[in-house]
Amino acid sequence: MAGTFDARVLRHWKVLGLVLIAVLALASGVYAYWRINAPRSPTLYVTATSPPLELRMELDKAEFGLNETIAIHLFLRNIGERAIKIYFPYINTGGVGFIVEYANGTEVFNFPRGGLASVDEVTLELGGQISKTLNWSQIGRRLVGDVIVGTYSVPSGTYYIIGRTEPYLIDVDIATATPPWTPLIQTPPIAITIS
Amino acid sequence: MLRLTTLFLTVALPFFVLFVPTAYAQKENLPWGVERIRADQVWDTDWTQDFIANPGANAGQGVRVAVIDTGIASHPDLAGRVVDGVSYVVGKQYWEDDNGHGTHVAGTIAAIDNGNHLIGVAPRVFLYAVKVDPTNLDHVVAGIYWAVGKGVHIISMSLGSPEDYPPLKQACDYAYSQGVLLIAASGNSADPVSYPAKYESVVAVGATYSNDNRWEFSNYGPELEFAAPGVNINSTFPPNAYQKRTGTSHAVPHVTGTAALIFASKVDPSYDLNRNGRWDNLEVREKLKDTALDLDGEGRDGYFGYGLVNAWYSNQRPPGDINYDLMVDVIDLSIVAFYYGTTPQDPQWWFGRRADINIDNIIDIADISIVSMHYGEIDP
Repeated sequence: MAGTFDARVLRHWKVLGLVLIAVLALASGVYAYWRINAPRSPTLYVTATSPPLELRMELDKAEFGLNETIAIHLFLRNIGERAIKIYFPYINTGGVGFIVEYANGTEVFNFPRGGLASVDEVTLELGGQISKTLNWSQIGRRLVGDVIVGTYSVPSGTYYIIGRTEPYLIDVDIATATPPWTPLIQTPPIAITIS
Repeated sequence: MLRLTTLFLTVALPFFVLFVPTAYAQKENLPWGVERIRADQVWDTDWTQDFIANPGANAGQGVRVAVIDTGIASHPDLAGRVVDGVSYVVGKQYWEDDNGHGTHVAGTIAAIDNGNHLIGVAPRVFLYAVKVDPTNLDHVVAGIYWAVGKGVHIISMSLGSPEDYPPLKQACDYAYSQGVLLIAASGNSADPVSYPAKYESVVAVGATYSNDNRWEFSNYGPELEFAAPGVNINSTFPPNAYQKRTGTSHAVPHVTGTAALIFASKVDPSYDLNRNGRWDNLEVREKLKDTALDLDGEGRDGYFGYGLVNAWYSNQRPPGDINYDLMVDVIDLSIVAFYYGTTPQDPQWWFGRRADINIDNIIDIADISIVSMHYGEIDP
């Protein structure tokens, strides 16, 4: 009887062990799947829409070391129902850029400013997009009026990054169109910390 | 008028009939901007209207022009024009153009008269390609110093920024002090004039349509100095192609080319203020001002500057010499009288448009006045 009891207990422990292993494996799989496929944290991407355009800005992370280059991913997408032609006043970074601000709204950096003085014409198919990655190397600009009086490496702290387009016009004949350019699209800010 | 007619019938008509053009043998396409500022009349001196620069004519030979831009690509219409260059773009050792903008600008300045497609304002200038990232003003600064070191006459900058960058101003002021004429785009955002065009040492250029109206996106302000064609400008584009572009970028090379034609000409003693026997940047700038077509009749203003740049009038030696015989005489007066009242709508326009000295698209009393004012003058 004792032997039978021991064998049954042993079998139960084996089954329990196998179940435990299976549960752990499943949990690991679920966790791995979640890590790979879960949507990014809502704080790392923002969008702004002005039909037929949607501007999306993404950051890889929200915390950076001092002097670390910060990659800013910008996507300007045609969300309308047909292909469009967009015109920008200058040829520079494909019509998208970014602004860095302190918490109080003071501008730290704004890129790009100006460029080649030729109208840039971009065709966006239905669902098509302009994709650009621009880098901010944690440099600030001191402006007095429109004069750049100096540049500096920004100190540790919290900064707000805003994606923006250049001013633009859509589906016009640029040779006969009249001002003004349509005001630029700006995303809400993403807060980052530099330490 | 009776005296003029009598003069024409008795003295000039027999001569003029001999030289009136009888053929219209177009070999090069004349971009509308080059035609509008009448650059072809400076170098197409044989009256055949084939838009080929004639031997011995002034087509900008010997003048060195730096184009600070995206580089200049190899192109059949720019063959032999680029003599040197530099790249400030990281990872780009040479000045080959991977954008197209710089090649377009270069073509408007200097596309050659090879009987193939189009021609520029000054088809015999030498180009220096300075490849920069236009969003990086430090590149532009470095390019200016490089160009000064190469001894260029003109620096052409079809770019702009709303921000004043002191090192850029220092570079422009230095280049100007070294005798370089700097020409830049006013900008395309319907805002005040951009930098570097806004600096006093730089000539600011805005854009016009083919009907001389201002392109309304063209930046404006008291610093604006000239207007030039800038809408739907056809020019060279890589690879071995052509493209129409719009913007103050494309007005700049029309002024650059016109200035190059002046630099290449024999100095006008009345402009040679320092009596050194050659054109200096200040003197060329004055000549451009004095010969521009005031488009709104208000003198210098913030929308057109001094007016539309005029390659033809600024390169007549002496002013009023329509038939290239280096004197202003009864023949010049007779030509103006013969075509008096002619406009581009008239069939004889293409034969008579040299008489439209002030390029206001009508041969009228203003043109007669210019000839009369300089009557009897001989090129020294």
